[in-house]
Amino acid sequence: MISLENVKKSYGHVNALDGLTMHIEDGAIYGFVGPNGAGKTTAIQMMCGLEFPDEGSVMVDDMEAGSNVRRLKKRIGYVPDHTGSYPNLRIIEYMDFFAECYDMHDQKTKRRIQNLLNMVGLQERQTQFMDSLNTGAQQKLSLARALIHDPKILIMDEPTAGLDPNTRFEFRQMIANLADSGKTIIISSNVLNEISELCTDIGIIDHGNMVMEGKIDEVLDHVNASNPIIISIAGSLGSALQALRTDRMVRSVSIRNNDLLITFTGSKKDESNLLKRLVEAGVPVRGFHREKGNLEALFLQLTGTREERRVTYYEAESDFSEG
Amino acid sequence: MRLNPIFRKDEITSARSFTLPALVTLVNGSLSMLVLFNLFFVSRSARVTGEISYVNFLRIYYIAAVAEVLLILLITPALTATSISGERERKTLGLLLTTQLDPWDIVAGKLMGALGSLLLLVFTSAPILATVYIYGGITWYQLTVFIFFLVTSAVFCSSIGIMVSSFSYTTAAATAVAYVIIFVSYTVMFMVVIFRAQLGIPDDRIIPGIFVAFWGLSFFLLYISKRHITPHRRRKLREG
Repeated sequence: MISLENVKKSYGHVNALDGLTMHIEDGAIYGFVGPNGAGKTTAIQMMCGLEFPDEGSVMVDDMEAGSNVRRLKKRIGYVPDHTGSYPNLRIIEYMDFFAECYDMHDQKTKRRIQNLLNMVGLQERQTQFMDSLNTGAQQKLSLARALIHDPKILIMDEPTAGLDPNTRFEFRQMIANLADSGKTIIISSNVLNEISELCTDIGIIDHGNMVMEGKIDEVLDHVNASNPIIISIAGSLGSALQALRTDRMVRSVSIRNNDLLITFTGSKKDESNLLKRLVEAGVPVRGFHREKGNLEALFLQLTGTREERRVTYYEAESDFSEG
Repeated sequence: MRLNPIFRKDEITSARSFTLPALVTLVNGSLSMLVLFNLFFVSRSARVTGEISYVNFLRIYYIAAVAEVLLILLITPALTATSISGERERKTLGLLLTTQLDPWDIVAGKLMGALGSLLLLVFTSAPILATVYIYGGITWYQLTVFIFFLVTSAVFCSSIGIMVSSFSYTTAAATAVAYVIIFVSYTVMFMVVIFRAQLGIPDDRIIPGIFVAFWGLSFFLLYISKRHITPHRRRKLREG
């Protein structure tokens, strides 16, 4: 388990982390999301022991990160947002070099290197020099390098940044396969779709603070709860509007085509009661569902870029909310 | 014996670069030209005057020796100033620190890499210096002291280069600062040698003293380099 407790870190007058608290369970695929400059890389470097907090604690498997414990270093594989390559080295020499850095020399290591290169699709190109690789291949090599010592925890800092859609897809597949092997995977990314497709947990950071953290399903439920309910009516909307006017939990109503979009603050049981009341009032309800939320919207909302446009759109269309 | 991975990697990359062979050719070519020209002028003078000046042969040794020391002082910063800052520029230093390597391993690997190149220069130039044995005049003790001084200078200058490199984010700045520190250090050393009587240092202590000082400083500089690249907790300023 990785835990950061009230971590603060500043560079001069700039607060990179301002009381960050986060918890990552064993075996989780943790999506670490935040706008540029939110403090993701600083937090990741702390987990890898490359930075120390000014205040607070960073623990990895009950050991203090950066305590230079060899046992701890063996558990972590790090994929930075840049490959960190040696242009004059061949791919196989690069892998051999990092294997030696982990004190691995035997035949088993050689086989493992071949397996890893095969996994990332670079086995055929292993005698090529690193400077001949494109960004995608370099990033794949970086992943293979990070796995050389079979770490329990894999930490990746924006691993798919700058990759083309095909390579990004391949990368996601590889990460999904790694997750099946029981590794704890931490991925920082700005591509929110990736996070929702891949991760089991998510943490949203802004200005060095965790603004939301939890299981991805719970977070998406939270997003859904703040979205409008869409009621499709067959025929005239008048009776439906009349019924909704009397409901205290209906905050606003707007009309889109032949659908009513309502802001509703009740629980799921309240939602079903509302539907029951509409049907009992003789409203010809054709459809009743809450609009699906997306992480993009939540991210924008939590990091201060609220979706004013959409709210305004609903309000402007409403001919009922003020009445 | 397990070879330092950093040293091994640097040896592979430097063997592929044009720098080292060019350096060996340039240094030994310059020294050879110096010695051959001196031999030519001594023999030409002998043909004119009818006598061979053995002092001139001995002078070859001193000229070649001083030239070799100067070359080491000039070459070492160029070889070592990229050592740590280069890793930082390539963004590989962080990666190395997340591995099982100790920061000492990184510093030691860089020192070994630099010394590998410098000692190659020292030993490949040995035949040129050995020309003095054609006519004699140099004792084994003097030769041993000189070679030890070259090795000491190589270690000392490499340590300065590595230390500056560990602090610097750009190679150009590291090289410039390393040259300045080396120039100041050797100026101070020569001043101490010249004014040893005024400083009250006995003649028989001056050479061991220089060696002890240079080796001690080298270890200190390497320790500072190691400390600087090791991630560490920032010390809090005391309030009040």
